Amino acid sequence: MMVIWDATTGIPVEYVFKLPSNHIVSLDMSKNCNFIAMLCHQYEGDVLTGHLLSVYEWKKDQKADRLFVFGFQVLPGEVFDLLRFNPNKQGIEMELLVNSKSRIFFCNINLNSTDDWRFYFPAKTQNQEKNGEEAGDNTNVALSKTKSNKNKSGESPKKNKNKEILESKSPLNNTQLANVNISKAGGTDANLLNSKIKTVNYTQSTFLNNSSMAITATNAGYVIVWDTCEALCKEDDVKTDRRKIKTVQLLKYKKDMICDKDIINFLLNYEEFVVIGSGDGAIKFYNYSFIIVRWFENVCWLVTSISFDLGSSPLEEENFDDEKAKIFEKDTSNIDKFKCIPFITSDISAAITRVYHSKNDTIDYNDDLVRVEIIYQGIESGVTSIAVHPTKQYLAFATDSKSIFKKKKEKQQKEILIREKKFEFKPYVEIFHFPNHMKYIKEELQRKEEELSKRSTIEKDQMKSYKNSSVSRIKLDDEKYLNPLKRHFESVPNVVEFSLDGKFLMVGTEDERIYVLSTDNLWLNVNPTLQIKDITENDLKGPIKEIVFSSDEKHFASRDNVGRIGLFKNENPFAKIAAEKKQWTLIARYHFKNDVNNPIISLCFSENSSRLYAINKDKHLYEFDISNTSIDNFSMTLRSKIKIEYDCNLTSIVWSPVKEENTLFLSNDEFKIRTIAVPELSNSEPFIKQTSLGPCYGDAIKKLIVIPSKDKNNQLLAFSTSGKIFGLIHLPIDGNPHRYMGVIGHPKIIHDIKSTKFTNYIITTGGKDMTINGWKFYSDPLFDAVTSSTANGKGDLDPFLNLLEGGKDGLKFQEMIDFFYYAQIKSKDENTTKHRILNDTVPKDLIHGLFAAMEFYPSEKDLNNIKTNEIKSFKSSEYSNKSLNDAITFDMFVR
Amino acid sequence: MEAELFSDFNYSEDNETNDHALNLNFTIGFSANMIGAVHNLSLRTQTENHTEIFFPSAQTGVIYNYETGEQKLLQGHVIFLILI
Repeated sequence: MMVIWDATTGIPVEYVFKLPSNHIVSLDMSKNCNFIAMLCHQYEGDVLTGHLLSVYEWKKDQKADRLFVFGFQVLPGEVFDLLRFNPNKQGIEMELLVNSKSRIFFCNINLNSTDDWRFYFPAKTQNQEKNGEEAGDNTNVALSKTKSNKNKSGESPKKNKNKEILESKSPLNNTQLANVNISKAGGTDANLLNSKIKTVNYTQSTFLNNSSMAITATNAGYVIVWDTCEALCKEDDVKTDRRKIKTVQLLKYKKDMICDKDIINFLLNYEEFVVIGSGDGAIKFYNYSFIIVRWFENVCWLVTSISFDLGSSPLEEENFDDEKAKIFEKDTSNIDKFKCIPFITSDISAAITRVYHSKNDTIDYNDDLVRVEIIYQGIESGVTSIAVHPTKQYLAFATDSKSIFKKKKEKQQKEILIREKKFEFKPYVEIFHFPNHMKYIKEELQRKEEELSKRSTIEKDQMKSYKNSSVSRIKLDDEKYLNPLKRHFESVPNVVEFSLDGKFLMVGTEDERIYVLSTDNLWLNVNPTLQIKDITENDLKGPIKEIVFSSDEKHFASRDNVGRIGLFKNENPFAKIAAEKKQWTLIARYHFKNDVNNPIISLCFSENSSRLYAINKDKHLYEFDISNTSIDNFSMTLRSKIKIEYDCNLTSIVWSPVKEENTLFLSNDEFKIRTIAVPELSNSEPFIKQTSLGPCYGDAIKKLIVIPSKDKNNQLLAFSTSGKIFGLIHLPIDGNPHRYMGVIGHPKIIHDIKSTKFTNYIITTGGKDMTINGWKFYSDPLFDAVTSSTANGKGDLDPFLNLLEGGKDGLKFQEMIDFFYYAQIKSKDENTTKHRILNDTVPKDLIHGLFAAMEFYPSEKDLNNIKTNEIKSFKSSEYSNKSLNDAITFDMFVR
Repeated sequence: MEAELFSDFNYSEDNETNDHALNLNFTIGFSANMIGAVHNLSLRTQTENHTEIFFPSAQTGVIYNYETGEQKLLQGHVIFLILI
């Protein structure tokens, strides 16, 4: 789907649903905004089989109209991923360029005549030919064109005319892909420019304003200039085709080495300047002779975007007439008068930086007045976990590590070239205010500047380097780190969680450690760090995967992925000094040693914090008594072990927020939610009280969390699935589908979900998409949906009947009624001639027959559980009629 | 200062209602690895003063005002935004 948005109001102007392919890789809009070009990939399974290039004509208040689409195939492994319009040709005659990592080709399109269409790769140079490659022949790529009109109404006469011409002359009626032999079409120019460098990739290409030139940037610090040149043309060459004219080395950090600082990652044509964003974080302006006229250093890291302010150019602002302007632009001796409007850049550290002049509207050569300000700070790498402060608007998150380039040795001509491992981001944990986290970051920076004025020169340099250069972010040690609310780790922090009093942040890492950090400054509160594992288990590696707190604020439990549970308490029995008595200490551990392949799926405390529950991959629910832990041997009493599932797997566990109930909710991967009653009596075991259909949104529930609420009638749970959906559950859970709702939270998966205690927010993260979303929730729409679903028709049964095939008027429901009557008759002796006195129930012994008649075949264990526990629980909760303990009503049967 | 900053996030006093149970309210982070993802919408003329930028945040487009911190969230896509 393509959406055209109004950039000022944020309102969608138009939706275009039917696209040539769903794998769009590049879009570009012509400068006059009348045309939109789109480059798509075609896949068969996971294999890229071709590319599709299509152009849409779009005018405001009119529907976007696809003018044409054509496909082209390339050699396996070659991926074209960038598309740009020629700003000098954007009418009936238009020109586009498409580039991959090693190749570029140009498309000349005339909307009035397909005869004038021309697609070509630039010809090879003489050097390439000498090096033994086949001569470039300006191959006119035989691409197939397919006219595709989507809008048959409301078209302008001009547009219709264009289409008719296209249609009449179009050689093909359906999309056909032409096989383009890339090895003969154009040269691998990039590979030959520096013979000592084995692989050089094209990064970006652009046309130049008011010029026939086009340039392509590379990751080796040079640009390639493509232009028309009649003198170099052979007899059969097309003279208007571009060919490689020259290469210009703009960046060279180290000799004979591809350095990451040499990468020209972003290329832009601004006015009469070529603007590049380089790997060392510099933004450089060149004129068309490739003489540098202005540069801004240390703006950011590896640049990913440069974008200038909208509006008039500085030349127009000063009312230059055209002639003067041209003289100014072309006369390089006048470079002192360089001016450009403010711009923003982004880099791979997710910082968006604005470069502007502090006094004027335009930037000139005066460096003193140029300001470089971070206006938005994103998240550097994928988020592994999030946590919300229990009392304040603090959000903590932990990130993964990210490395853009790894160390790579390339051997050629007896020289070893080493690519530096430069762009590396260490994992970190950060705490910030939400939702105005940028306001908070600005306040932090202001506070640091105030501190800066009080510090020594060395510290000043350190702080400056922190602000301006990201390298220092890596090199600084944890203790020296200048931002107190961001702490880097050597090992990836898998899980973060605030203590319930908000004083501590627990961080469980990949290297089996639990860091207890003070929330105020992220410094270690307990040193050395906590660990679950015994010293005798050194060879068993178990990264920490979950940390849960008990409601009495005194305990927390953590688990790793090899079946170990650790129980921690904020009282240290081994403390020798008073200050250590309130430190968090390991008091008990449990290891599911019998089966290494029995990892724990999730943990949960009971409401009174006397018990700990764990669900494992072996489909069991384990209940631990934590009130009788022994510090001598760190043991924890396993109180009971109940097999919950037989076929499917358990996925999550949560304690019910309804206080008068002592229940747990367990979800499984067959979309069911089981309610487990936990008797308070010491000699009784938990049992399955109810099994209901849970949310069915494509994927099974992966995590259930409680949303704290004071309103007893509006108790909510939140769930996240193993896919992209998360949502809300309105309690009590009874299988009514109107109690559930779900939305798409992130494009791939919901990696983590957390609720806030005193605000109506749910926080989600998508993990590798490097984003955290804050959702405001309202229980009223869900409550209204539940009440309205049961208000009409057959009362409480209505929503359940809708789940049956055909609804309440369907055959299935009629069959249910018939079978129920039959079961009633059977219970009173089928062959009798006497009058039968029937009530509205069926004995529970006949329930298996009823289920089987409705094509539902539960396991024997499930049936026994239904007969013994679920029927009793249902009646005691719904009917309060203990005389019906051995029978089921029709309502119960339907549910 | 804190009370002023978060006055509208007090759950107990929040009586507003909405037709939708879940509404995206803010987003943090953006698709920083994407080339050409961030676009400048700033415009300073005698009559207009826009201080906004655009960036894609997973499947949501964000128009972010860097002076006020306000976000306009452009929703509707269900997969990653690729380019603008």
